[in-house]
Amino acid sequence: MIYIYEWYIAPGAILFPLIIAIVFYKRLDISLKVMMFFLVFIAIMNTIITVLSMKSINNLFLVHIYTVFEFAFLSWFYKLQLKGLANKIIPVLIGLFTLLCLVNYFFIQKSDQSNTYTRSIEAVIIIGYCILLFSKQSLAESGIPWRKISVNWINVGVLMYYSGCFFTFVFMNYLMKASHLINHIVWGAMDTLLLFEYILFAVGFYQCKKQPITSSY
Amino acid sequence: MQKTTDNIFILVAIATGGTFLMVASFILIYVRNQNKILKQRQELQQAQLAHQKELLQVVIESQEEERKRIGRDLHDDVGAAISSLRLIIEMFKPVAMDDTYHQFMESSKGIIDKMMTDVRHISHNLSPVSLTYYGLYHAIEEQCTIINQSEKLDINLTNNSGEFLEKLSLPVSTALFRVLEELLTNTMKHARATQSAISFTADNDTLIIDYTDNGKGMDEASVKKGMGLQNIESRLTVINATYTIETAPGKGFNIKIKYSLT
Repeated sequence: MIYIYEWYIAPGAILFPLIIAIVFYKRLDISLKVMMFFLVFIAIMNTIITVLSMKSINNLFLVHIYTVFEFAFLSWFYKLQLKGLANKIIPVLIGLFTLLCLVNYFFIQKSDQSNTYTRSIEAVIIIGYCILLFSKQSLAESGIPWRKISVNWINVGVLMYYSGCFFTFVFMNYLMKASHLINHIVWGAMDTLLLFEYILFAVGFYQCKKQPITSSY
Repeated sequence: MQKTTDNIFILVAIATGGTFLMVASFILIYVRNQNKILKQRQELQQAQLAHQKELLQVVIESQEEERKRIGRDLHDDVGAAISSLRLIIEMFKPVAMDDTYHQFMESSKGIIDKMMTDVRHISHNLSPVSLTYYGLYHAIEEQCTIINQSEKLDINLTNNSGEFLEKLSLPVSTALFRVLEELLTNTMKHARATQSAISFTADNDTLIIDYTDNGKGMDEASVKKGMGLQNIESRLTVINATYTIETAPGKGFNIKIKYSLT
């Protein structure tokens, strides 16, 4: 049962936000479209990683590649949301992080190891983005209830996933050497957070549906 | 140094759970505060709106009072003075009553009669007496009769609201009368309409006034630009009435006003 959950249910849940994003595609702003393409990317990568795993082929090199694109997609999303100074800083961060990933892959944590250094740094930066967006949203005087803003749900999803998984990212190489039971607990917890993130993303995309226009005249 | 016996996996599980709980709490508190701030902001906006509405009501009430006073003064003072002037002219009997005298008398009386009619119309328009004594329907009917007689517009007035109109207070009747007056003026001035229709219907505790003309209409963007429509909006806002406008170039103009007694 745990295998079905880890291999199919949690990764397959990505279809939920993806379908909603496709349905409301015309109503998505650029940042949400970036998020939708990020989900498409995750779906493709997850499929490849799962297939390789099933065939017992080492797929850790894909995790290294995945991290670079994941950071780029999320950074671009936050760049579009945060605007201002973030417009200049985030592209530089993406460049530097990609360079760091390359150095890490070729010289430090090669394809036989999980990229705990870069993944942890990535999580720290993304948590930083989330906090900045929370701060920005708290100062905005839009007059729209919090729950009606798509970006808020997506930001919460990202923050919960990356903060919840932070220690797992840091100690991934240790955890991989642990017993099956420990691994199942860890992956089960991560998958639950992932499932939670996808549900929040789906709610976020759903908030893009047409709002009824109310008028007093 | 003593070797630690801590299980790293348990520590990771605790750290993960702890972080998740901290973040979830942070988000919940943040969302709750945001909602609270939004609620306070909305309450403040509501209070400001209510205050603006009160101010508007005071302005409109004083405007009505002023119109009443001017109308009464015109009718009582100017009207009486003109009547006196007519009497004096009629009583004037010169020694020689030739054609020049008769012509002078006729033209003077004609001008005075016109002045009296004009003063009566102006005073009536400023403050329709029938509105106070006979109510909204009668006042509008009177207005429509005058316009129909002028043959500038053919107005069809219907009342299907039963006795609903009698339940309206004077400020509400005045506001609705002014709105309909404004609509009729707009139709005659700008719409190039030949016909218009006013109907009063009642739906439970709601009065529905439907005003239509067959004029040139306008695009929705220019609906709110006119002063006339701004006056209509102000007056309807003060009495808590709502309205919907349907118009398009070449398709006439329709406004549906809803006023609830409750």
